[in-house]
Parts: sequence; C-alpha cells; structure tokens
Amino acid sequence: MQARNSNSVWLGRLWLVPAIAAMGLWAGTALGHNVSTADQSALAQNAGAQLILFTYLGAKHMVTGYDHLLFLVGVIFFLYQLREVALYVTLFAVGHSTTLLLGVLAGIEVNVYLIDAVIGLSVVYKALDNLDAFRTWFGVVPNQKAAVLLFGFCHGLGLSSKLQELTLSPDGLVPNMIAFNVGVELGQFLALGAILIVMNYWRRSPSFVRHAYLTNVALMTCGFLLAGLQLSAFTIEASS
Amino acid sequence: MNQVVSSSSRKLLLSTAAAILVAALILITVVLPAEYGIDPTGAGRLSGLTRIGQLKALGGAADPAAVMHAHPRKFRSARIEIKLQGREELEYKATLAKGEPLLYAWTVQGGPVHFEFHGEPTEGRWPKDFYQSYQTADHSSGEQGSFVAPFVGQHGWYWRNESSEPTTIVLETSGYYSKLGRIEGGGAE
Repeated sequence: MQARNSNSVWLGRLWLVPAIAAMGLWAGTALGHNVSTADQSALAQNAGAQLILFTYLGAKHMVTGYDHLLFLVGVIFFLYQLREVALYVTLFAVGHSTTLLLGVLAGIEVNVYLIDAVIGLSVVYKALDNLDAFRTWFGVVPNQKAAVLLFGFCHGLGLSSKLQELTLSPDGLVPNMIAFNVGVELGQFLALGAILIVMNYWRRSPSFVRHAYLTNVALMTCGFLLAGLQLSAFTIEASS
Repeated sequence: MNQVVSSSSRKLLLSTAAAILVAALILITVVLPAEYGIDPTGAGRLSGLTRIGQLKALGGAADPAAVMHAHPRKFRSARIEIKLQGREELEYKATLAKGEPLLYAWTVQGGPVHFEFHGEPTEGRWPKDFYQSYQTADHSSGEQGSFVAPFVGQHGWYWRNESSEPTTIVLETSGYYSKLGRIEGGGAE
C-alpha cells in the first residue's frame, strides 16, 4: 500500500476550490434527499426550458444525496491515483447518465423506495469489495469496473424517477433533463472534491491503514441502514 | 486497486453480521420512531423522537400555531351579485392575513365566464408586480371551495364575460377577511 503519494499534496490543492464550494453548498441547503416542496412548486409554476434551475437542482440533489456520496466514498477509498479516480468516476457518470436520460425519455418510473434500497445495497457491495470479502468468501472478485457501471445504472434510475416526480412538462423536457444531468455531474465533481481532500489528508496519517477496516464496516452499516430505511418506507407506503 | 490486507472469512462474516445488527438497531430505535412514529421498542418514546415522527406522519399539520387561529370577532359573510356586461372584465378580492381562510361559492347566471383566482401581496418585500395564480379556467359556470391565504394580500377573482350578453355572478363568501370588494383598475392580464 502506498502510504504517502507524491501526488496527494498537489491533488489536495487542486481539489481545494471545488471542495470549499461544495462545503458551502452543502451548508447552505438542508440535508435532505428528496427535492423539497418549495423547489417543486417553483418548478410547477414555470413551464419551458429552465436550464439554470434544473442544473442547480441536479447539483443540489447530488451534493445533498448521502447515498450517492457514501457510494463515492466507497469507490475512491483505495484509489490513490487521479487517473484511476477519473476512470471509476467516469464509469459511474456514464452509468447514471444513461439511465437518467433513457429513463426520462422512455417514461420509466421505478419505485423510488425500492431503487433507493438497491442504492443502499450498492454501498454495502462497495464496502465489502474494499474489505476484499468476495475473494475471501468465494475466491472470485466481481469485476469492479462492471460493478461501478452497473450500480451507476441503478443510481441513474433513481435520479430519473425523482426527476419525473417534478411533474416535468413536455415543454422543454429534453433541455431541462440535460441541464439536470449536467447539474448532477457538477454536483458530483464538487462532492468528489470535498471527499478527496479529506481522504488525501487522512491517507497521509498512519491512522488511515489502522482504521480502514473499521471505516468500511461503518460504511457497510450505513448502506444496510439506508436499505432498511427505504424498505421500511416502501412497506409503510404499500400498506397505507 | 489496493485493498485492505486480507482478513479471515470468519472475521468478515462477523463484521457483516455486526453491520446488519447495528443498522437494524439504529433503524428500529432511532430512524423509524423519528421518521414514521413507529416505535416497537419504546426507545423513541424515551428519546422523544416518536412524537416528532407522529407529527411528521401528519405532514406537520398538527402544529397548533399553524392550524388554530382564535379571533376576537366573528367571521364575515356576504352574498353579492356582480353584474358583468358583455365582454366586461373585473376583479373582486378579499383582503386576508397570512393563514386566514376564505370559504367561497359562486355561480354564473348566464353564459360561462373566464376566471383566474389569484392573489397579490400587500405587505413585505416582493418582486415588482408579483402575483400568485391559484386556479384558472376559460369556461366556468361556478366554483366553490376553501382557500387559505399563503401571504398577506388581496386574494380573489379576475372574471371576464366571454359572451356579448350581460351576465350576473352570485358570490357567497365567509371568512376572516378585512375587506371584500371590487378592485378598480381592471384585469390582471
């Protein structure tokens, strides 16, 4: 394991600007996952192309969406090189953009609770993968790139369903949807900056190696908790 | 991709089981009480989170300050006949404080009319010429319902007679408005 990467100082500075912006955006918005009712009524009142509003909503959804953030933490946990980070994050972006765009265009609306439960389980998968549990248990490691792409599809289906909840008018649908997607990528870039800067500082201290195991178990716990919460919500919704 | 130094299968299984257990524990004792008021263990009652969850399940509507408005005076009621010449348009509005209700019923004696139920703030800082539209229809022969003012202002109807024949709108209202009457200066559109 490379305990001290010469890139990390440089990396830390590079990510400083978006990181601070992300923290500001995070602090400025309520930490909630669904699009707020205030945002919904702002949307419902205006038809047509509203690129800035939808870009903002996409970014806000990503930066305040703890399930996406936890998954990103899991994905980059052991990625030391910027090139690798870029590769995996691109795979994730390609995955969720594909289903986001196709889902809206085809009008595919999956149950938001169920897809969010799967997204919770994607965090569990990534934590177990970081712990090398699959090799230990089954002797094989599922292809990590394929898995990130696949879970990217799931995250995108969730995004698509939530975007459609905003009662999108057909007027300006495609530009608004693309603006939302651009916002998602901007938000991911900002969030990733914040995560990377913290990780890079932490990796330079010896406590990183010592606590890496426990951190991934905690990550897995969060994933199970998210999945449990969403399944409970689904059951409650279905029974009422 | 770097990984954690391999751990034993047993350790990983125990860790996973512990993760599920802790997640379930947090879910049952904290999250479900706080989000839905569901509290099988009673832990939410002790922490007070169940109360919050029950309020949330009601949509926050049980906040007494939000739903109870006691008044020193009785509400006002009115029955008004409003005559509209052919193609005439006019506005008729009630002045309401934020959160105050208006019950209304109106019918058209004659041809259908175009209407827009909307409100304009009279206090506070708002964008220039801001108004909020609540309901619009091109051909209506009457509407009834209840309305709660989202802000201090004049809330009411813009009516336009779509035919060239005179018509009469009979408007009945009850509510805690301070003024009810025709707004001079014509239409909203």
